[in-house]
Amino acid sequence: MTAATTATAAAMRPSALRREVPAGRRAGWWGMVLFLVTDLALFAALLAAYFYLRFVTSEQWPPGDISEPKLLKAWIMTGLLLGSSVPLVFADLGIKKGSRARLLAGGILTVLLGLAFLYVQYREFTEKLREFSPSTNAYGSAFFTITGFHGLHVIAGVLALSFVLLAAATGRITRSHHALVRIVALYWHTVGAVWVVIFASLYLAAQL
Amino acid sequence: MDRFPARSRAVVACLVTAVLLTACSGPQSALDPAGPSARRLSTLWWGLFAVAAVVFAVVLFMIVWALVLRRGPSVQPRRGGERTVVIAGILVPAVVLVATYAATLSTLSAERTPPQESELTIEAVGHDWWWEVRYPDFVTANEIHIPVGRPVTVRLTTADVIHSFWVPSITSKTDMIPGRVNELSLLADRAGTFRGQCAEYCGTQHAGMSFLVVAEPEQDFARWLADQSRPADSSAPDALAALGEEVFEASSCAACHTVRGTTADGDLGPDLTHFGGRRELGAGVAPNNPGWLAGWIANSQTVKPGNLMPPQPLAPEDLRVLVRYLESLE
Amino acid sequence: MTTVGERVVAEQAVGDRLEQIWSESGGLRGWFTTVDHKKIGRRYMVTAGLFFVAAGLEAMLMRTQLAGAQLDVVSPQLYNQLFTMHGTTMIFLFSTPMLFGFGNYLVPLMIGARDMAFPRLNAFGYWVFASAGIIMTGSLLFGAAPSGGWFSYVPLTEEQYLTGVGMDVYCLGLLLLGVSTTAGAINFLVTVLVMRAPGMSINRIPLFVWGVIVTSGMVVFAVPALNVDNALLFLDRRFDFHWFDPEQGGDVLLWQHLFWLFGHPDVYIIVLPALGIVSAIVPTFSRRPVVAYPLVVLSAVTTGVIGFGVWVHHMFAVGLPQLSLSFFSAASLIITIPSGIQIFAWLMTILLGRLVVRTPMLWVLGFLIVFVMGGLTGVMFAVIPFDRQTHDSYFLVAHFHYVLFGGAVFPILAGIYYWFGKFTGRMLSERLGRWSFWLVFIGFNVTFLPMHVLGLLGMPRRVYTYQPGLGWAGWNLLETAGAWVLLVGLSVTLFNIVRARRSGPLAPDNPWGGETLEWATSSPPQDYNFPVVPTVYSLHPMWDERTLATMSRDIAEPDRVLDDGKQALRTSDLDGVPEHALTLPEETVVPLVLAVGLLLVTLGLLFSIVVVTVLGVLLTVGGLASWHWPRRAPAPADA
Repeated sequence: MTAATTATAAAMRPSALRREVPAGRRAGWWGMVLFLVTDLALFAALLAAYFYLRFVTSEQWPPGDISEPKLLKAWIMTGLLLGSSVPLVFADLGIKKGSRARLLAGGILTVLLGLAFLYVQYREFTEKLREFSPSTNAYGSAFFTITGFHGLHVIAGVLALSFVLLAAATGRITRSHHALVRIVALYWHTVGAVWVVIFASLYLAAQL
Repeated sequence: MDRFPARSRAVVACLVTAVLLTACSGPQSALDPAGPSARRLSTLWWGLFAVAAVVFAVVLFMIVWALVLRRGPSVQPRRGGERTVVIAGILVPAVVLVATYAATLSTLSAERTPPQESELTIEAVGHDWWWEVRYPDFVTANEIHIPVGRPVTVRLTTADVIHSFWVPSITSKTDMIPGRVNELSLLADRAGTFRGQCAEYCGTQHAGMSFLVVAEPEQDFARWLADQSRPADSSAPDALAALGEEVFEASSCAACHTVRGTTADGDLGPDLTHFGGRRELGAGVAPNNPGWLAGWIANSQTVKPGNLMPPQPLAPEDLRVLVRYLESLE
Repeated sequence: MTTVGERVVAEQAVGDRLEQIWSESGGLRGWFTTVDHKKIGRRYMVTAGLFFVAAGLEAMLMRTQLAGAQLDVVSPQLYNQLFTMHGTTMIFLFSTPMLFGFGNYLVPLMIGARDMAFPRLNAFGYWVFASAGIIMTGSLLFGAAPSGGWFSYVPLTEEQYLTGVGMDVYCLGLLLLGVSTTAGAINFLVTVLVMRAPGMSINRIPLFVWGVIVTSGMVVFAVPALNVDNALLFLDRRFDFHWFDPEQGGDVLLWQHLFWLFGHPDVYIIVLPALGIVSAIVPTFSRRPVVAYPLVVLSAVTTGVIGFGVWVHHMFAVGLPQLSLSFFSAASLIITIPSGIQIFAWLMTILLGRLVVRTPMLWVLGFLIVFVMGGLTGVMFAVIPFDRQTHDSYFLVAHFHYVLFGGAVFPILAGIYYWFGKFTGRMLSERLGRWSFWLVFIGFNVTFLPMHVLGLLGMPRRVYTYQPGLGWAGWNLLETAGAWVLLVGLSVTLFNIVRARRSGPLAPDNPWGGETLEWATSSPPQDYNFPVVPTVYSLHPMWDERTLATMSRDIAEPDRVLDDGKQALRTSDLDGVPEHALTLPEETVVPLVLAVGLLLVTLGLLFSIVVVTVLGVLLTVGGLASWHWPRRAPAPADA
């Protein structure tokens, strides 16, 4: 007896008719949600540490001879990362309808935007390093720790998306078997949302 | 059935008395208070202890009750019990906790409002592993003198890691944190020598980091202040001590220690200007007498392993005159 | 009735088919590839037990050194490593992993499931825990153990004061362990969310499982604070960052805030599953359901929430503003109420039931006495002025041993005596158990009760020796004597375990007449746990004929037998309504490969060998890829 007939048998039982709640999410989806919760707690702890240092520092912020962060590159990064979520939604909805082409096209665009984000971040780092480094003072440590840690998340996301695309290209992701896309997309959107908070905290709020 | 509780009551009473008698005394005891703050905290402790003892007795009683009366085949399990849980687990504790909180706040505010203005502010600086004590006119180490009945404000800082300043018989502890200044008030209402010790783990010789607080009558304190303010006697009392001074200035001693009135002005180790008058060596690890002192100088690592003073390979004769000199610095 | 007839009927009908599907390879290969929650659970317990022995021996060395004033049994440097490792091991490598072991073994059984939701993640968690533990404990053998105390306050633990590799072992070891703990916690949460037997709505979840749920929820929020703290310290130490350096705009109290933001919740992370064990044992030996089940659940959840609002009571002496002190004092007082509810719920259960004092219950009664004392001194520490007098003194050492030995070790021992038959198929000796209990109970109190006195006499914690003439030596000698009695008592249980493994009487299915579903399985359970997934009709499935009857009733129901591959039943999140069958993964070596990858990363960072780090990263990424590579067959599988 196959899984499909098992499911059918279950669906025909009287108890199935009494079901009041909609079918739940996959275990893997819940696993990713909880991972993201703990990951967000990690970023929250880092940002709390940043603001703590800011509030116990009596001199101006950023301290020392470090100038206020310039916003242009950061705005570009924000645009790239938030923008990269759009084709991913397109891809996700596509595979739901069984369109592998939409999945591949949207996914590739997202990966490219992610790589562009990383490239701008690399330029941002080289520029900052000319002014200060993690060893300059606690502000430098905080800036590079937090943005660097987020950058690692983007790298992980690019790798995971590429992995999904590879699986899709070899026909392993289909209309009825695409939970992986859902789960990785959830991760990617969250990493984008975290960047907005980091941008607001480290760049915009430093202007205040 | 009747005799047994009576006997155990007697046993408990005996034990409690014995504990009270032996437990409370001691130069570092929180229950042998020598000032209003420690006295308040000691009273607070006995109050908390009494409340805790009552709660504990109730729990113990319930367990014993179950063990005695709720066993055996004839016992029938009963339903219910929720109401008791609500009363004993929520309502009663809530009342007790509110009372405890009130006691907390009132003690806290009493702790913060000293009975009188402090006229003297000193500074205690924690070092690995000794205490620098800075009075307005001089610097000393590991021994704090205060006048009986007058509060002294102590500003607490550290030269390296976190230490915690604790003299249980006088008041509770306050940490010494890098980058911050904390304050506490020392007020003794009886004369005596009280022991303090570092209460925050600070590395290898955390255990060897204690100090003395000497509370003395006003005149004695004034005399001590005057004595300490003077530089070391330039005219050594005898020839041996004079030779010792030469050794001190010529050897590596002077690189780390200061003796005011001489060329020795190192600042890594304790100030030794009036070293001979101190009661203890090495932040309380040994009594200050010529025997221990000679051993300490030759190789303090045997007395206080890991401390930052390296062994001093001096000729026996040099060591003898050096000890003589240091003991003469009163 | 100690053999569950319905189980036997079901097993005869479908056992062979299921056994074929569920059996794993044995021998060495099986050792490295298993994903069975029972094997992994046992492994967690045995490994954590070994760390308990190591930390216990460290304690014995310390107690021997302190038996008299100015003894010279160990050097101060070694003593400082010993107490650091004792605390770190007991907190991180013993308590939580031991209780995770209980959870791994028991949660699927108690909720009527066939395994955890993520069996491979489970295996991975164990391997990571084992490697972190070996790195940390191993460092002591090379004299390179951390020596900054288990909470490692900066700046003492910065490179300039503690040179050498010891502190890096601490940072990286705990980061590695954090991966394991978080993975385990997520696994528990998802398992309970989606794998409960049909009919097990949230108001029918056993209290032990609730304990594991709340603990796992706390882990998800608390461990990140510790991870961040350790990562920042490592960056400070190795890469010249300045997070904690006040000279360069950093702040030393930042460490303490982050540490206790994890550290205080961690007390409840340890204690809540242990209290769950108590909640499992008390009804069995009181012959009635626990009093006020909803209140007990609520109090566990409340503890989990308030536990995050009390961390500053570890910092009352650092000189924080008065207002925040008052707030944290109030929160620290309030958090005792949920614990009080649980205590009185158990007491009332005992008082209204028929008390049967077998060894598991004996340990529980000991727990009640010891834990209540720890709780009472805990209330005292919420009283700020008193806290500042006794903080970091032996009074504190006494307090947290009453809480943690009382709140974790006693319940764990109770749990071992209670479930040993289920775990191994053999029963422990009651007689040896009673001997062990009395020796441990007396030894524990003789060791730790006098510490209250010592604290009030002014003895600070973490001192490797003390001066004569302070009135401390007698008490210390008494404590050391007590510690030896404690050691003997624990050894009796160890002997009991070894003996029973070889020659103990065979365990029946339900030796104590317990109420929860693990007793419906054979002892030890079959690979597939339940031949037929039971349908649950009450909070006490074993005391309820209807639930048991479903096991023999449903032998022809495909969605209860689930023999079409390695399957488990997915039920709805809140009500436990069956939805569809899940396919669980087969045994695999990938979790081990991934764990080795992380171990290599850790070792590479520890000894600054770039090649090893890179190799580790590649192995980790490769392992993850092969783990998640989708199977071609469009089966309803999980990532």
